[in-house]
Amino acid sequence: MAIKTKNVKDISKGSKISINIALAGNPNTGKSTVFNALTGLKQKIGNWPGVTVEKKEGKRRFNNFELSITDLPGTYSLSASSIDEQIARDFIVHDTPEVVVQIVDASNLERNLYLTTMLKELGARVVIALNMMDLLEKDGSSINVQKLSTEIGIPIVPMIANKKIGIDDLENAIESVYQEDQKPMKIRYSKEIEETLLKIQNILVTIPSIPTNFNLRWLAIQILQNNTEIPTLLERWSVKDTNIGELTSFGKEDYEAEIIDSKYDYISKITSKVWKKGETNVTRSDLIDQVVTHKWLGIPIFLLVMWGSFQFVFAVSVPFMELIDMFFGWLAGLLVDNIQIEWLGSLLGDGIVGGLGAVLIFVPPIFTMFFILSILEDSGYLARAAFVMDKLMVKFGLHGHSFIPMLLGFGCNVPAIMSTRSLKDKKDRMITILINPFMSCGARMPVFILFAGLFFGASAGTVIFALYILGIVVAILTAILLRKTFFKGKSAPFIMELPQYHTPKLKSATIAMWDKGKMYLKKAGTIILIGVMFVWFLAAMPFGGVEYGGPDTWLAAVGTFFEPIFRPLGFDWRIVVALIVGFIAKELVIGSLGTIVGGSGSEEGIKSAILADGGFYALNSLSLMVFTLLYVPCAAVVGVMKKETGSWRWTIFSIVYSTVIAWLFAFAVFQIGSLLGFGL
Amino acid sequence: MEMVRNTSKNIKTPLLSGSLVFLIAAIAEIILGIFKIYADSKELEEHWVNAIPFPPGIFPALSIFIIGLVWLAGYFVCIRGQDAKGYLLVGTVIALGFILLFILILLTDVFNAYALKLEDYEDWTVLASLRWIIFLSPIPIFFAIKYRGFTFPGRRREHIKAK
Repeated sequence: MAIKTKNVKDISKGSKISINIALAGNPNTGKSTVFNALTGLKQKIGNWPGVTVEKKEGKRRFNNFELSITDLPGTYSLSASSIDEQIARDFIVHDTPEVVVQIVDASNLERNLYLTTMLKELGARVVIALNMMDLLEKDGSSINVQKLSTEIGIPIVPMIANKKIGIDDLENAIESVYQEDQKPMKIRYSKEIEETLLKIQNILVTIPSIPTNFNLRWLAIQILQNNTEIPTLLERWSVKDTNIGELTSFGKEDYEAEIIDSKYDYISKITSKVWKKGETNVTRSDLIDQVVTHKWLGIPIFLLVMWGSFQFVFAVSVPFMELIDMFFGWLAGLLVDNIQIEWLGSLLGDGIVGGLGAVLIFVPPIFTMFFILSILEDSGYLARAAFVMDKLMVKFGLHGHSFIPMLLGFGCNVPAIMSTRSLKDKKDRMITILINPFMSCGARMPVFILFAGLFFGASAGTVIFALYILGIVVAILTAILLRKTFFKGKSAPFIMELPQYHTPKLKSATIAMWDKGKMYLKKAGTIILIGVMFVWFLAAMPFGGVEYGGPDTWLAAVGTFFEPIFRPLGFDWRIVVALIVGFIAKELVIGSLGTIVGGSGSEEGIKSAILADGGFYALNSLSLMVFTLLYVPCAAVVGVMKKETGSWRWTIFSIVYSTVIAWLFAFAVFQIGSLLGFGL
Repeated sequence: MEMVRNTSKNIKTPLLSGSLVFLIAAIAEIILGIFKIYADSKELEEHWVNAIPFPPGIFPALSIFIIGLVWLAGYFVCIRGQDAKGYLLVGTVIALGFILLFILILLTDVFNAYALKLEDYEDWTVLASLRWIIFLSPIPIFFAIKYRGFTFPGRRREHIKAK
C-alpha cells in the first residue's frame, strides 16, 4: 500500500490540510452512524448487516484539517467475495486513504480484530473506534482499552456512536495518527510460510512496474492465500504473464488456512489479556431469538408482525387521508367555480388538482409504512426475518439474505435491487434482482387502498395483505423457475450475523421515513405533475366539440387500440391508459384515473365518480389490483435493473415476464370470478 | 442451572394459564368469525348475527392464537427444565403490541365517526371496533408487571437476585 508522505510542517502554517479517511469495519458495526456524526450528513443506517452497499463521501473541518471521509460497505476481511466487499477492499488497497478508521463492535472484539490484522499487515495508518461500548457494559463484559492499544500498536477510542459519545476523541486520534508513522504489523507464520513469503518477495522486488512503496509482504501473503484478485492486480501493473504464472503457482489452500489460523491465534492471545467476559451468558437478544427464530414459531410470528404492521399503517393514516381529501376537494371546487376560462378550469381542476390530489392523498399511508419498516430495521428484527425465512427460501432456490432485498422492496424496488450487492453468489444475486419487482412497492399502494376500500369495505386491509402475500408467492415461484432453468446450481450457504436488538429510536425512524418518503413527494412535484398534465392533454384533445375524457378523445384512441388485449381481464380503455402511463411511475395509475374519471381531486370525489361510472366493480377492481401488483415495474426500476444486472437481455426478460405473469393472474382472477358469479 | 430451574418453576403455571385462555379465546373467535361470514352471506335473521357480542375476525383471532402458542411452547420448554423466559417475554411484547394497535384502531374509528363524521361511519358504534384481544389485556399486563425483571432491559439481574 502506498501511503502519501505528509509534510507536518505545513500544519503550523495555518493552511487547511486535507486528510483522506476511510471508515471501514465489519458489517453492522455502526460505520454509517460514525460517518453521520462526523459529517453531519444523513446517510442511511440500519440494524442489520449490508445497509451500505456503495461508498459515500462527506467532509468535515477540524482544527487545521479538512477531513474527506469515505464510508465504506462492511467487510470481514480484505479478501472480498461480494460486490460491496470489493468496493471496500479496492478503496483501501488502491485509493490509499491516509487514515483508516476501523469501527469495531466492542461486544464482538475477536472477530472484528481479524480485519485489523489485515489492515495493519497492509501498512495502513489505523485508528480503532471501539463502538457499542454500552452494549458491552450491559452484557457485563469489559475491555482494557489501554492495554489493547499497546498490544496491537493502534490508538483506540471507546465510543457510543449513536449517542455521539467519543466523536471528539476520534477526531483527535485521527489527527495524531496522521502525524505519526505506524509500522506495518508483522505476524510470524510458520517457518515454511515465512520462507515462501521471502521467495515471493524476492521475485516481486525484481518487477520494476510494481510501485516501490507498495507493501510487498502483504502482496506476498495475498499470493500465498490464492487471492483470486491478485492476477488482475498484477495485470494492472503490466506484470508479464510468465511472472504472474510463476507467482500464482505459490498459492495453496493449506497456506491460506494456516495464515488464517495464525491470525486468529495472534488475536486470541491479545483478547485473552484484555477482554473480560461478563457474568451473564445469555443476553436479552438471545432470549428473544430463542422464540422469534424458532423453527415452528418463527414464520407465524413474522407473518403476525407483518399483518400488524399493515393494520397500523391503515389505522394511523385514514384520518390524515380524509383531511387531505377534504382539502383537495375544497381546492378543486374553488378553481372550477372561480375560473371563467373553461379549458383553464379543466386543466387546473381535472388535470392538475385531480391528478395530483389523487396521488398526494396517499402520502400518509406511504410515510407510515416507511416508518414501520424503519422501526423493524432499527430494532434488529429484519435480520431475524431473513434468518427465519432462510430454510424456506433455500427450498425455493433462494438465499436467506435475498429476503432482505425482498422486504425492502415493499418500500421501493430501486434501493432494494441495489442492496443485492451484498449477496456473494452471482446466481443468487441475479435471481433476487429478477424477482424483486414482484414485491409490491409503496407506489402501488394507492391503487390497492382506493379499490379495496371502495369495493371490499371492512375487509380492505385483509385484501391488501393478501395482495402482498401474492407478490411474495409469485416471487418465490419465479425463483424456483429461474433456479431450475437459467441459474442451475445450489444456493450459497447463508451466513449472517444477527445484530443485538436495539430499542428503535423515534428520531432515526422519523429521519429514515422522511428520506424514503420525500422521493414520493418529489415525484409528485415533477414526473407525476408532467404525467397528469400529459394525460389531461390527451383527454381534452382534439379541442372543441369533444367531451373531456370521452370516447372521441386522443386518449380514448390510444386506450381503445390496446383494449382488446385487456378485455379478458375486465379492463376498459381508461384502465388500459392508466396502466400504460403507470410504467413511468406507478403513482400515475391513480393520478391518471383521477384525471380521466374526474371527481374534483378528492378521494371521495374519485370514489363517487368510479361508483357512478359503471365501468368499475369488485371483480375487475380485484383483477386491476392483481395486474398492478405484478406488471412491469416503473422506469426507475428498469434502469437500476439494467445497471445491476449489466444486461439488457435480463432487463427485457423481466419486463416481458412480469407483464405476461400479471396478465395471466389477472385473467385467472377475472375469469374464475365471473364463472363463480362475482361479475357485474 | 439452579437459577434456571427456579425461574422455570415460577413462570410455568402463568405460561400454561395464559396460553390456555388465549388459545380458547382464539378458537372461539375463529368459529364465531366463520359463523358471522356464513350469517352475512346467507342473510340470516338479525338476532343470530347480533348474538355475537363483539365482532369476531379471522386475522385478529390468529394473532391471539399465535400468542397463545408462544406461551404454550414456553410451558413445554419449562417442563423440560430449560429457560423459557424468552417465550414469556416475546408473547407478552407481541400481545401488548397488538392490544395497543387495536386500541389505536378504536380511537381512529372514534375520530372518524365523531370528529370527521365520515359517511362510512354513519351506523358505527364503539362495539363494532372492540376487538377480543382488548378484553384479554389483563393477562399480558399482569405478566409485564409481575415479571418486569426480565421483560424490561437492565432489571434482569436484580430480579434473579430477589428470587
